[in-house]
Amino acid sequence: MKNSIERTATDDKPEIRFNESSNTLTIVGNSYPENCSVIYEPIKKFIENLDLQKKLTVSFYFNLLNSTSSVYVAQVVILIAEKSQDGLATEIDWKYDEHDEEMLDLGQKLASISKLDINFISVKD
Amino acid sequence: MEKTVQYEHCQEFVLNEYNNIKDNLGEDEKIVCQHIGTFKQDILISIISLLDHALVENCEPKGLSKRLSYITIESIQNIIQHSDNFPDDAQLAYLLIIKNNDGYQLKSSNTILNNQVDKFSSKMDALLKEKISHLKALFEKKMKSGKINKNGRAGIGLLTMVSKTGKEFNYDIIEITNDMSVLNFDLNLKYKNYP
Repeated sequence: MKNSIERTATDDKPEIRFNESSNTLTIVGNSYPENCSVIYEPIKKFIENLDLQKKLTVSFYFNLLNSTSSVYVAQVVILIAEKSQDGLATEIDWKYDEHDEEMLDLGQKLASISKLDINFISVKD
Repeated sequence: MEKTVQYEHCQEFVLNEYNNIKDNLGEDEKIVCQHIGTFKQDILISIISLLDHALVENCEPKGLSKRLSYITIESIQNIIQHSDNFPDDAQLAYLLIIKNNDGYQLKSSNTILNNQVDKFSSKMDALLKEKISHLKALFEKKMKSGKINKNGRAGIGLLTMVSKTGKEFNYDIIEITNDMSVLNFDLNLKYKNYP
């Protein structure tokens, strides 16, 4: 079965899309749902089933994120780091609004936890 | 005292407090968002949308706007998760966001069982004693552990609230009946910290 993932954004949940040709996973929007597992468990499953031969690009761009989502995002990034150790080439972009120091700080924490090189991209209004 | 009577006492107290705040606003104070009653995820979404609209309309600094939105999310999800529910699954809680000359004030109140008060107060007091740098390190440690509790939560909402308000954070707990108390939060975000 094809390994793919897609979810439309809602007010409290991010959009998730996977571009098969570029092997790029994009997670963008708000993330403060009542139940974060419905968002992040499918992402973890998707990453678990990735083809390690193809370079994976992941682009995160959150607007508002609750604390539980932060822990789930950390789980996702740690899983990517594990796959990277298994031979998966990865590139991770962490986009944040230029005034959102906390989102930058969160990305830096993720880099520290996972030991991955993360590209920090400030997005202007 | 019967449980229903205890709920009525709490209800009266919370309602009086809510009206008291609204009736005694200072000249420079204006309510931006308010809700009293039961809190659910759809209410949270509506409040965040209202708040966003107000912050844009008031041309507030982006840093302050983001932080206030984060704190509001954590405050409401804290009420949803931890407030004691009435027998019909209703809650009696309120949230008020007030703009004043110094910045924004978030006030919230919800019921809590007396047998949970000591545990809660110990946790709160320990967080408030910590330096902000230690709170940030603790947050990173929690992220690294990846632990999610049986309710599907990371259990770091209070830590996040204290950390993000830079300790402009007060709470009190007022015992109302033999079994029930009311927990009040008073959080402040000041313009002087967002040049």
